[in-house]
Amino acid sequence: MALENYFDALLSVVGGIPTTMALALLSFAIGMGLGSILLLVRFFLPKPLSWFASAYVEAFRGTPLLVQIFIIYFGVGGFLKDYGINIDPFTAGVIALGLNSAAYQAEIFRSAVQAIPVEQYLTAEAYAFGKTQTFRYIILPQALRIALPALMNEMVLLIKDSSLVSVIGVTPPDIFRRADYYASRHFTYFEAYLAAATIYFIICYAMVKISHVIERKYAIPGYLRRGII
Amino acid sequence: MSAVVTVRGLNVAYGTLEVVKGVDLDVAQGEKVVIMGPSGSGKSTFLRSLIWLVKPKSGKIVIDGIEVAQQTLMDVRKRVGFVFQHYNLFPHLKVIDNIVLPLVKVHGLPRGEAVQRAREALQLVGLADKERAYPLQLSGGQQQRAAIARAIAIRPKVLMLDEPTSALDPELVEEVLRVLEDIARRGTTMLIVTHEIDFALDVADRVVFFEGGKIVEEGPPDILYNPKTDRFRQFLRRLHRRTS
Repeated sequence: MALENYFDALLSVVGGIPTTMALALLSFAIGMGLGSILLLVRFFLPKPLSWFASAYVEAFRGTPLLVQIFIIYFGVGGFLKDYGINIDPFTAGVIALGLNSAAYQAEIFRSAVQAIPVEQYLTAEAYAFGKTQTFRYIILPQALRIALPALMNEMVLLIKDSSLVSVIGVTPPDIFRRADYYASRHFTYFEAYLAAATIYFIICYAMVKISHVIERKYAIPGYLRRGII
Repeated sequence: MSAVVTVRGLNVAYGTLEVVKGVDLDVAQGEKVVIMGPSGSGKSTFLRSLIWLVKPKSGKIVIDGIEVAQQTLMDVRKRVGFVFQHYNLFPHLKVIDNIVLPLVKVHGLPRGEAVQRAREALQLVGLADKERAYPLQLSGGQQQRAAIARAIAIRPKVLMLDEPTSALDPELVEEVLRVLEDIARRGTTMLIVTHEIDFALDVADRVVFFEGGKIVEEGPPDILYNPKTDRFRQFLRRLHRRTS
């Protein structure tokens, strides 16, 4: 392995950061929007409807992301093409990642809401808070704090999983696709993929550090937590 | 004296397990009623069921002239201040906001007025200097006093307290009881589940002894010296042995 090849690959792969981050951030946003809706359905609506929400979660958790990407791009995309609607790989990738993330974020929200002691609900009831008020002023602010580490973890997973979208030929190329190009052009596979790994690692590590700062900023004062690094 | 709380033939069950069995009770305006009884006697469930935190199986409850029903529930709850054994403050809100939140969101007070009332309540429980603190930064006794402030700030027609001192370290019990004595002297109607005999002797107009989901004995605080039933005598003896 040549060190200069590695740095050369690094310089080339860096150009994929905007696409990778756009894929991750957009799908995270979609996941959060849809994941919140799934939570609200499960929290407020009667049983049959919340079963639909659970079915959605299980469907996306129980199948591989790569398969989901192919279904959206080739399956749904191919179907829509018959009606003259074209979905480019980037859009298909964002939709697939977003739908997938929604399932996981819905689970994160659910477990965060369930982590809040029943006594909090009981107190809200005793003080005549309505169900919406209870959710808005008492449950949600606490649940978001509980969910924060898991949400940031989901963001990190999305950054890494966005590399799967490169197989449907996303343009402009993301980090992984650029590494792929570089490798096949220069026959320096090890350097190219190591460069990609380096960039992913730096981004993800930075995200983890940022998440720690946010967690500390929004921590409930006086809440004792064990210091686990 | 008119009754603030009237209970007739109240039955409460968890599934098939009957916990409260046909209880009748009247609490007059300004009266302080202390409820005692061994654990599992249904006294806490009874208190909670009065505002349907546990929905009763059958029976009639009237609070401040309103019969408790699905349609009147919110209206009734607005007239009751409830204090829990484990304080149950909202941990993400400062002490003052714990008190202000129900006043603004449930009782529709303008924020300024709510803050004013919250400060008065905090003054009364001796926590005026802690309004900016978060609940978990306080001791158990302070948290319970803050919870009492939250309850009295809504100016309840009746204050219900479910074992307000039993989760506290012994040296913190006194500060909470002193606050409750102050509130009692102001003429607030109170319904208190507690095992604090001295407090009952000082404050209660009437003591009610619960066992097996029923009121076994009731009367003026003197009955603590002279219980009529064996059950109550046994219970008090055990309580004395534990505390002395």
